[in-house]
Amino acid sequence: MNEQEAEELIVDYAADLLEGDQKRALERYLAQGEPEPNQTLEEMRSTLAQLPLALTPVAPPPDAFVKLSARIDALNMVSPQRQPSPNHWIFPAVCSGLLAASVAVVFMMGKVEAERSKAEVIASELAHTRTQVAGLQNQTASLQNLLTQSQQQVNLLHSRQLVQVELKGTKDEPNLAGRLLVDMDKKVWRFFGTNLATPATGKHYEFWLITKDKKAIPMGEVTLDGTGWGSVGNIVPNPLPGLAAAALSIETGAALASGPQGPVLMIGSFH
Amino acid sequence: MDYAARFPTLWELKALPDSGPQKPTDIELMSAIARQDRSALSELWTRHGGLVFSLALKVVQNRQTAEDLLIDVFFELWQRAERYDPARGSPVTYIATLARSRAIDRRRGMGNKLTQSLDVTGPAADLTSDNSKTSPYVHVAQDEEAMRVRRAVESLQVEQRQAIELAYYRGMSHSEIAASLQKPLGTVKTHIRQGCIRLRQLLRNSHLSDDKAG
Repeated sequence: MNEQEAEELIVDYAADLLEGDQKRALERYLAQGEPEPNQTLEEMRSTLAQLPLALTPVAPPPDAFVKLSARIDALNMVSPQRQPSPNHWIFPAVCSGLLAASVAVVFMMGKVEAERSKAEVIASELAHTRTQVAGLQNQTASLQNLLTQSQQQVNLLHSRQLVQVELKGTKDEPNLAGRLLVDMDKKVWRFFGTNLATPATGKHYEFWLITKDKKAIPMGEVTLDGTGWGSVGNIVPNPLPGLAAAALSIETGAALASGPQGPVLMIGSFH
Repeated sequence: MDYAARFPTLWELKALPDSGPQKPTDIELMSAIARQDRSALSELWTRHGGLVFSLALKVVQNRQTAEDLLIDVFFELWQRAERYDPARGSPVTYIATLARSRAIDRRRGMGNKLTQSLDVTGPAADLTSDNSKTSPYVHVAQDEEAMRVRRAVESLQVEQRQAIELAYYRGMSHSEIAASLQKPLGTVKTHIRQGCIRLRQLLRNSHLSDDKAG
């Protein structure tokens, strides 16, 4: 393998897309320690590792941290902190030490047992308190999330150039309602929908913009918060085509450029 | 008395400097977690739990499984925080890489049933700038980093972005991506390679422009 062949494969390797002979050949090449391809690989891995930063964080379920805490508590009960082991053993010293310890243990047994009971009660109370604190921290996080979302809406409504589109449920889903807010000043948009039921496995809500020449542009999957609210947002496409309407559909699989494949549940016109 | 004048509005709060004690950096939190500091774990969860959950949801497409993954990832961080090496990247990319790896493993373990119900990711992501679950005026720098990556991803051609996201978030092979996008295999390979190279360039340039601005 030469340098150019390696360069071509490094991207696939970084993305876990390389298999079989090509993968082994590239690994052999990289193992030769040439700095340039190894540096390229590191850069490419670092690039891909940043991809998730583009995702919108979704607030975890409120009790998830409590479950994590309980799991850590259980771990600590099963395997308490390890003590450093001695570097070597000297048998006679150990024997005499054990003998002395045994004598002491006999006398101390009762006292130790009482102390242990106290410690167990305190540990139990501590674990309970930690769980409560974790629960409160999660509630705080949820409220902060709600505050952030509210602030987003307020920020959009304060826009100097706000475009609003009201979306109404179609005859199949008359209870659905939504609003598209486009901040033409900051070039961001966000759709908010309500009364959205959790879609069946493998299905999702897709938000669409419909151009004046009747082309449908898939704008992204709506993220639900579990209470019927859902939203999706993005930066305003550049160039912005002439828009006629916005719509929400439920899709199975890929959102195709040819337009919604599933039923359209909400629609609204640009005025 | 004009009470409204005495209190900052939510809008103004965003611009206020953080007057509280200095917040530990993510690297400091990782060090503290390695020393089994629970409050550090809680703080790291508050900062990045939403990102890990979002990533897990995107990969496994199932809320319960995503929650399990979220807990698994932070449990693993708790047990093995000392493995994190700051020289190899920021804690958040380390956490995201760990989460992605575990989620892809779980996804593959779920078998073909899930693979049949894939959707191609739409536009790169949810891109409004202040959508973090964390306090909007505490983690401005974190939001800026997210926005920088979002803009770079958004700058890719749609075909490049879709192919990269299917590889990264779904763990699909070239041929699976080609089938899902109904594109020739060679085209998909080209989209992924050129897209990744372009993404690297965009992120590098944005770093450089940030440095100049800073």
